[in-house]
Amino acid sequence: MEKIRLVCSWICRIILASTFAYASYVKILHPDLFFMDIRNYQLLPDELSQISAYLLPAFELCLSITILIPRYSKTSATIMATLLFIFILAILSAWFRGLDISCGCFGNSDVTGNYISTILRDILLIVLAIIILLFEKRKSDTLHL
Amino acid sequence: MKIIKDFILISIISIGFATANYFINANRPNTELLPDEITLKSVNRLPTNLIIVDARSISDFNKGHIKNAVNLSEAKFDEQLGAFLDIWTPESTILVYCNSGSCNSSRNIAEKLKHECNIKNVYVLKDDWKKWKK
Repeated sequence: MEKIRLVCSWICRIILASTFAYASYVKILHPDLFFMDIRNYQLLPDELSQISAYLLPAFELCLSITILIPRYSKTSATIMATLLFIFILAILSAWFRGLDISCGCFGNSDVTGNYISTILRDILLIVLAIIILLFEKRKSDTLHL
Repeated sequence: MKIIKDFILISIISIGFATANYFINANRPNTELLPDEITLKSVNRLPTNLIIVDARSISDFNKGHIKNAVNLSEAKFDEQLGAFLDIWTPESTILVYCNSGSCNSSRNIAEKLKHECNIKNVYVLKDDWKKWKK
């Protein structure tokens, strides 16, 4: 049982790590284009959009590494789930305001206006992060017994 | 407590990396563009249900234009609007261009579409349309 939990936890970590790594790679190369994607949401002033265009992909890249390090996997999963939740809120906000924009999640490869599939994808990723957190909690409960 | 410490560590590393990227990477955000202005570099990020509007005069339009563009000039706006609305749907995204990035006609037509026609998702091309490759 413990082995199955360990394998599941690692599968979830690898999926999250590769998703975040790919997402960050495209945006790190082109902060100018990612800046425009952030701007299209019309949520932040230009100064914050500029900072986010650099900081967010860097954060995603770091998380894609730390999620694979057992010592940091719990924190990384928590931050990833929080970030994904914020992304979903931003996408919902754009959708309700009638904006037809690219999510900006994966840089250029994102299709515009495909809000439902984007939200479902992010929900799935949150579920993976929660699975990691549950398994980590179970592991620490077992150690404390 | 551990989560907070780890979060601070990850944040510090991320800030360091972001700062390095800012200095190394030549692709810097262009804050001179207005939110509804785009360059040719980012045109392919627009949706595929795109209507391209040529804001120049009829004579300039007839001499050459982006393929499949619709002419909607300031001088003949009311006459040409019908033809534009025939192909427009609420899901469309509009890209307006004129002679070059510094021409005002595209901005004026974009503002007319947004405020007089209540059309959302209108963008202005801030580059030379002749370099359009699509």
